[in-house]
Amino acid sequence: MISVGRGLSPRPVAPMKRRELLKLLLDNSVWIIIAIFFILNALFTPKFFTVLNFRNILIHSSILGIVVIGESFCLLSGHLDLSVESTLALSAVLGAMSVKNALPVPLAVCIMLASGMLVGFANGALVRKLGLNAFVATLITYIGIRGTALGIVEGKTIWNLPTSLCFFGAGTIGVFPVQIVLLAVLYLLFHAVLVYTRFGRHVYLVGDNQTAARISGINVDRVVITVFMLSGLLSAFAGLVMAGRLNSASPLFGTGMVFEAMSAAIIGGISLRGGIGSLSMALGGVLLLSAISNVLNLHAVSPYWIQTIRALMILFAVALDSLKRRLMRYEE
Amino acid sequence: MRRSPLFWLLVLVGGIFLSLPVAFAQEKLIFGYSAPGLGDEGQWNIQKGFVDKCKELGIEVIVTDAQQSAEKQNNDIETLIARGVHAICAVPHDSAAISIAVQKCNEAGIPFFTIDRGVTAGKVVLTVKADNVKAGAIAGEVMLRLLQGKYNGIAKGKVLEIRGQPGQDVAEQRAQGFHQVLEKYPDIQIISLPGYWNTEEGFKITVDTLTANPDLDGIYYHADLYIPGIVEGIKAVKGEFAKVGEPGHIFILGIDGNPAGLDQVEAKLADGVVVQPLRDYGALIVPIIVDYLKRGEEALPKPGTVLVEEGASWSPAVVVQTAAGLEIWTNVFYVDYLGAGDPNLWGNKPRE
Repeated sequence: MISVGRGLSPRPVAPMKRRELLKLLLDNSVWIIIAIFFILNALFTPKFFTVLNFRNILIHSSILGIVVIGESFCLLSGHLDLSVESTLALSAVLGAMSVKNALPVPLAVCIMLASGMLVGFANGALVRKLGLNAFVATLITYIGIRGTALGIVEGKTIWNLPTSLCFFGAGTIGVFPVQIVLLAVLYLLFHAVLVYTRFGRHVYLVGDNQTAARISGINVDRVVITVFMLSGLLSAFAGLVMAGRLNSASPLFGTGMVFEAMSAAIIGGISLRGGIGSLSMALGGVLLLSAISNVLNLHAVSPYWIQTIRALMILFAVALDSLKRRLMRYEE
Repeated sequence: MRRSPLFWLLVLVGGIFLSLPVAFAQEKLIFGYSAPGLGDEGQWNIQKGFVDKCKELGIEVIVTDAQQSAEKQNNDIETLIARGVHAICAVPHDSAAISIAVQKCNEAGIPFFTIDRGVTAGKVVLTVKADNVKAGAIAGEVMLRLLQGKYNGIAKGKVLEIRGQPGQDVAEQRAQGFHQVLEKYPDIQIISLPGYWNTEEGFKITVDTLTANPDLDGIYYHADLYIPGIVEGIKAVKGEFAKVGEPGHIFILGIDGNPAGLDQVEAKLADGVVVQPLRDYGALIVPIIVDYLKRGEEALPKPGTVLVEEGASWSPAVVVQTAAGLEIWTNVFYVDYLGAGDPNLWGNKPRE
C-alpha cells in the first residue's frame, strides 16, 4: 500500500530510480565485489594485474566453473548434488583406462560422458523414483562412484595420455587456451538454456515450489532427472578437462571440490532452497574463489595461515553482499 | 524383554561360526592388519609387503580397509579384537582418533604395532616408518648441489616447495629436513605453499608461483602425485617444458618413489626422487612381531641400535625411542634417471 502511495506522488521518482539502481547493484553484487577485489590487488599484489595472470585465473576457474554449472542447475531446482567430484574422478579414470587399452579417443570421450550421464540418471532416479532425499541419494553415489574409480585402477595414477585426449584441458585455439573458451561457451550456452527455454523456466519453477509446478502440469520427475543427468554430464566433462590439463588420471581427482562448487554457487547468490539465482552470478562466485587462491599464491602466504586468510577473504565478500541486501531492505 | 529361544540359538551358532577360524588355527598365528585406505598406491604396497611376509612365515592375516575413515578404522580394529587375533598392525588414518581402539586393544592384551605413523595415546609396542626428516634433508642436499652447479658453485636461487597437508606429521617432517639443509644458505629463497596432496592444487601453485617468480630455479614436492601438475604448470606458463639437461630446465625433485613417479624420473621430467622402502616395511616388522609374541619385550631392538641386512632396501634402519614410543626409522635413498628403472625399487615391482 505504501509503495503505491509513493508511486502516485510526483516526488518519489528519484527514490524509484535509486531503488532500481540498488536492485541492479544487488543483482550483480558478486561482480562489484570482484571489481573491488581486482582493483585492490592491482594496487597491492605484484604481477596480479598482468595478462598472464588473468589467463591463469581463468584457467584455474575452468574446471570448477564447469562443475558449478551442473551444481547450479541442481541447486536452482531445489536439490543438492554431492556426487559431482566423484563423477569427475570416475570419468577421468575411465577415459585414461580406455585409451590405455587401445580404444580410440572419440570412443573414450563418449564413455566418459556416458558415465557422467549414468551417474546423474541414478541420482535422479534415487530421488524421484525411490523418494530418497537428494542429500542422501547423492551421498550414496558420492561414496560409491569414488570407490568404483579407486577399484578400477586400484589407486594407481595413469599418466602420459594421448595429445588428442588432452586437447580440452591443455590445447589452444589461436592464442586462447581451450579451457577458457570452453568456460565462456558453456556459460553462455547454459545461461541461454536457463533464461530462454521452457526447460530453464521449469527448473526455476520446480525449485521455487514443487507442488505448484506439478499442479501447473510440469513433469517434475523429468525435470529433476534431466537436471541430475546434466550435472553428471558436466562433471564428467570436467573430468575430461582435468585429465587433459594434468596429462594424467587419478581416482583421487577433484577431492573436496563439491564444497568449493557449492561455495561458489552460494557466494554467487544461488539459494540453497532453490528457485533463486543465475548462472552469471555463479560464474562470478567461481572467479572470486579462484582469484582469492591466486592472490594467496602470488603473495606466498605461510602454509599454516593460508586457509584462515582464504576464509576471511570469503567472509569479507559475503559480508559485502549481506550489507548490500540490508541497504536494499532499508531503502524499501 | 524376553528373547525367543530362536534368538539365543542364532547367537550360539553365530558365536561358534565366528570362533571357528581361531579354534581351528590353534597352532597358527593370526595377525590383523588395518589399512587406512587401500585406494592409495603407497598404502596398497605397504599392505602387500605385510601380507607377503606373513604368508612366507605361514601366518594367517586378516586385512581390513578403513577407506579413509577414522571411525571405520576404529570399528575395524574392534572387529579384529573380537576375532581374537594374536597381534594387530595398523597404518593409522588419524593418529588421535585411532587411540580409542589402541586402548581397547591394550585392555584385551593384544599387542599393537603401527607402520608409517604413530598414535597419540595408548601403548604401541613398535612403529616402523621411513625417516622423513632424512628424506627431506636428502632432497635439500640434492637441490643445493643442483643450484651450486647452475651458479658456478655459489649457493643461491629460488625454490618452490609444494607441501602436503600442513600439520600432518609426514608433511611437517619432509619440510623440516629440507629447510634444515637449505636455510643455512641465506641466498636461497624457499617459497612454501600447501598442495593438500592434490595434483590440481600442485598445478595451480606452480602456475601462480612461476607467474610471480619467472626466475624460479627449482621445485621440491612432498609426494610424486604433484609431478603431472608441476610439468603441465610449467608448460602452461612457459609454453614448453625443458626436460632434465635441456636449457631452461627447472629442477624438480621430491619424495615417494611410486610407479608413476619413477616413470617420470626415468623420462627425465623430474631430476630425481627420494625413495621410501614401503613394500619392505612388512619384511622388517613381521618377524619382530612373531618374536615379540614368543619372548615379549626382550625381542624388541634396543634404542640406538642400527639394524642392518644386506640387500634389504630398508637397511640400515635406526632404532629410536621417541615420546610416542619405540620406533624404527628405515633407510631412504635418492635415485635419478639412471637408477629409476631398477626392478628392485618397490615402485617397479609387479603388483601381484
